[in-house]
Amino acid sequence: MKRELAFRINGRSAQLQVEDADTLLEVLRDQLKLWSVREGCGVGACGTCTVLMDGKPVSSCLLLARRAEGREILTVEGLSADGQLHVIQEAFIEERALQCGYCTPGFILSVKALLDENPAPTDDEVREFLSGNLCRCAGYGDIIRAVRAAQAKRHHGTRV
Amino acid sequence: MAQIVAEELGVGFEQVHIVQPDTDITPYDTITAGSRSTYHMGNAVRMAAAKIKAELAAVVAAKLEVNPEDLVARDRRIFVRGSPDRSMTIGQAFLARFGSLGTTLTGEAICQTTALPMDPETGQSEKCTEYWFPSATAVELEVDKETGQVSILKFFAVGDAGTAINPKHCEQQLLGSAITHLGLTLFEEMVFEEGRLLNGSLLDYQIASVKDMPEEFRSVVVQVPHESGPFGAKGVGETGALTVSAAVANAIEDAVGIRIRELPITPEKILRQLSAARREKEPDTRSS
Repeated sequence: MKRELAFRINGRSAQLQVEDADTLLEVLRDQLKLWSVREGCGVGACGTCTVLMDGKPVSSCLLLARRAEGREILTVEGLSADGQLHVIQEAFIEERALQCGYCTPGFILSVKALLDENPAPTDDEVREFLSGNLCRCAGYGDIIRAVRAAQAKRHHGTRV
Repeated sequence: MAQIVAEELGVGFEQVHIVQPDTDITPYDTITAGSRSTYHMGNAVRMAAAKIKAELAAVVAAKLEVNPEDLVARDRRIFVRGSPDRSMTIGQAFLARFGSLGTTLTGEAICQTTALPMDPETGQSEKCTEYWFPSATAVELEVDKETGQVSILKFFAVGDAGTAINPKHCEQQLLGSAITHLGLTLFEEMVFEEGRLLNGSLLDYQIASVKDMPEEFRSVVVQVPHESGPFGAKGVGETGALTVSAAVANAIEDAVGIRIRELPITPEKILRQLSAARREKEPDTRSS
């Protein structure tokens, strides 16, 4: 059954009609055209569809859209401000931490959640936190370097 | 591909626009597989760009009254070798060719490769492939004799890319394919029962995650220009993968003296073989 869903997406309010069975991924892609949100495995095992809900990473392929009622959702489209990329996006570009790029939006949001929660993680903490995001190009070395570069930018700069 | 076109036409990499594969507009190709795109597509793209360059060079040669062979394309200009001031921009060359703005030239080329069949007696051929992928893996690991668990401490992926058109991409590709293969070596396995796949999702079939990265890892790009590759390049897609399983099996044998001959090399197989080796050494006296 279609019902109204009200939530905040990338800093704006949204009111949409959604089916009870719609996943958040379907609503973000099909209704809001947020193409950075991508389905990978569809069973919550690969982290590709990661978005942040109230700052915490969730698998949007498994989460029913209705669960987002009243929540704040962030996708990669909401990261840049005033035409300037977010420091984590800059770090991924500078370290060239992407190959085919399919997993990249999910990784960037997981890194944001990690650094928001723990601004100076150990190597083990980085690996543990990012272990839910899979990269089939296996570019993990560059991704870890990007985490460190983003961490340094946040430490030295005013932007987070 | 954009770098190959830019190099051939003497224009900036950022000026080359790549069209995504679409049968409406892109010509026939087989598939992106077998590490073939850089070589096969690259050669075709380079030849197609060279045809456009030749057409522009003919125009410039007529205008400047020089031999087209003496012309060089670089920095968005076509100029006479040795006297860069005698030149035309690519835009000017188009204008001279067509007499109006907004015109296009189309270049098309086919890269078709050949192989000689193998001798059925010897299994050998003078040319059975366009190029080989020389590859090496160096690995240092530890085996836990109680659990059979393998920990990779150091891991180096080495591969010959011919000329590395984009060295950073070659490094990434070598290491990426090696890590992917490390997953196949240590734990990835499709399990079938009566013809049915039992682990057909990423929940049951695990692939390498960031936690499977060795403690220390690096890739090394060896560059030996290949005679028939575009600017000496050749495929590097799977090069890093080729020697991983053998290196890991060798290192396990070096560490605990057992040879595993079947992938994946799981802790169960290691434990089973370790205890078999122990039984052989110290026969159980109770059973005899």
